[in-house]
Amino acid sequence: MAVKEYIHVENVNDAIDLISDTTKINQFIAGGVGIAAQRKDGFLDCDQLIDISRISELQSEEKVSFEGKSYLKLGSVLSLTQISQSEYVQNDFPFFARVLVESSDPARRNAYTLGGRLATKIPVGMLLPALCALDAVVDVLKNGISNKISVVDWLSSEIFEEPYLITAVLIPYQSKINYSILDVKRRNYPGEIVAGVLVTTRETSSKLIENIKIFGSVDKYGLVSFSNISEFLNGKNISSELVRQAVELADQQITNKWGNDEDAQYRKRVLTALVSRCLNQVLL
Amino acid sequence: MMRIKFNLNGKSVEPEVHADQTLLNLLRDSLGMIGVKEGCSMGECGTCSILVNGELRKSCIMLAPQVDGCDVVTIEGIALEDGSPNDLQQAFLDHGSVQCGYCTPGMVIASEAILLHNPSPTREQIRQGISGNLCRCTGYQQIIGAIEETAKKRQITVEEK
Repeated sequence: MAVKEYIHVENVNDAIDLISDTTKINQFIAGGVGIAAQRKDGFLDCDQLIDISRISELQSEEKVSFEGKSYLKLGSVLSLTQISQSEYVQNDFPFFARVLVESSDPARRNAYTLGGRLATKIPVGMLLPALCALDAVVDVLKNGISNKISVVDWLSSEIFEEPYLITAVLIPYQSKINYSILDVKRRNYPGEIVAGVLVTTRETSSKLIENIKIFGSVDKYGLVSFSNISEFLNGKNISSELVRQAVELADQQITNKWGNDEDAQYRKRVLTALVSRCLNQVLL
Repeated sequence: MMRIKFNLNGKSVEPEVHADQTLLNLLRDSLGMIGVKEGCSMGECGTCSILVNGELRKSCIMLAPQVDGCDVVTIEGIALEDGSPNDLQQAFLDHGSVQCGYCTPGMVIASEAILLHNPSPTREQIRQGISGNLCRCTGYQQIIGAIEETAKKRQITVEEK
């Protein structure tokens, strides 16, 4: 079906009104990368495209308070380049800035929007693991109500049937993060990875492991959560034997969900090796 | 069909476009900007690179209506008014940065984007800046050299002024 109309909207209310029009099949567009891919693959099936990239309230970048906690609020149509250049991100979340810069080549970073990556759930570099490790929250406007959903839950949820709009991503301010991030990149394709692993811990005065988070990403398959390894490690004393046991657990946990060919075996081996190296870097 | 209006290489244009027409298609087939090349059509090779409001973008993964009201610069807008190559294009020629030439328009545009945002880039920053532009002929060294030399010459020109 050829798209009949392309509409630039100036505010959220107009965007919601248009997307809620049940007489037509509608889609939002911001950076356009996802829509272009659908078009190329012949899956673009809608009557009208609603361009939300010029809505100023979706371009905000500010510190906000919500339920007694401080957050950095990033508007959903900000590009990955804009976010990586944000002073807040560079000063307060330097590893997130690094992840954004390494997420793709300059032209695609200029086109990818935060909301677009979350709406499509298509992985870009280590963006999704980073948002999960930062305990980021997606602000989703649905039926006139703002719903705050953790990125981890959002990524594992079914796509809403009702019209919705991702308006922002909220990143909570917490104690300083220690992290290790390692990935194996595809040659010649900036940002595209075979697999990557991110391990974060919060800085504490105790010698116990607290609040460790381990997330991975496997090329087109996306987010891999290692929550059982985090549970195994949290509250325990740091030792090389403990890390060895955790890596063993990771090796057992990583069942191969990424196909049955040799590439799939390679992905599994890479992921296990990266978990081992990241844990060693962060904990020992 | 819908009519959009934008500045193309400094001149206002008002083409009629389909709502789902790619910008690459509009530039090449309707507006005659055939210096913008079609390569992979999926945003990976960079040969269709252009500047939109001073930002590097790939025209194959943009729809034409997205640039309504924007400033668009293609390789045709980089050359001097008499059609001769600008300093960066000349540096590409001098360094042997062009072999088959298919990546060159996109590579020059990506290079201009680097110099627009960072007048004194390091070699590493240049590598990152052209990381979305594939060249299968030159091995990149000559291209990096051309950009580096242009940056230095432009810096000297600015200092002299």
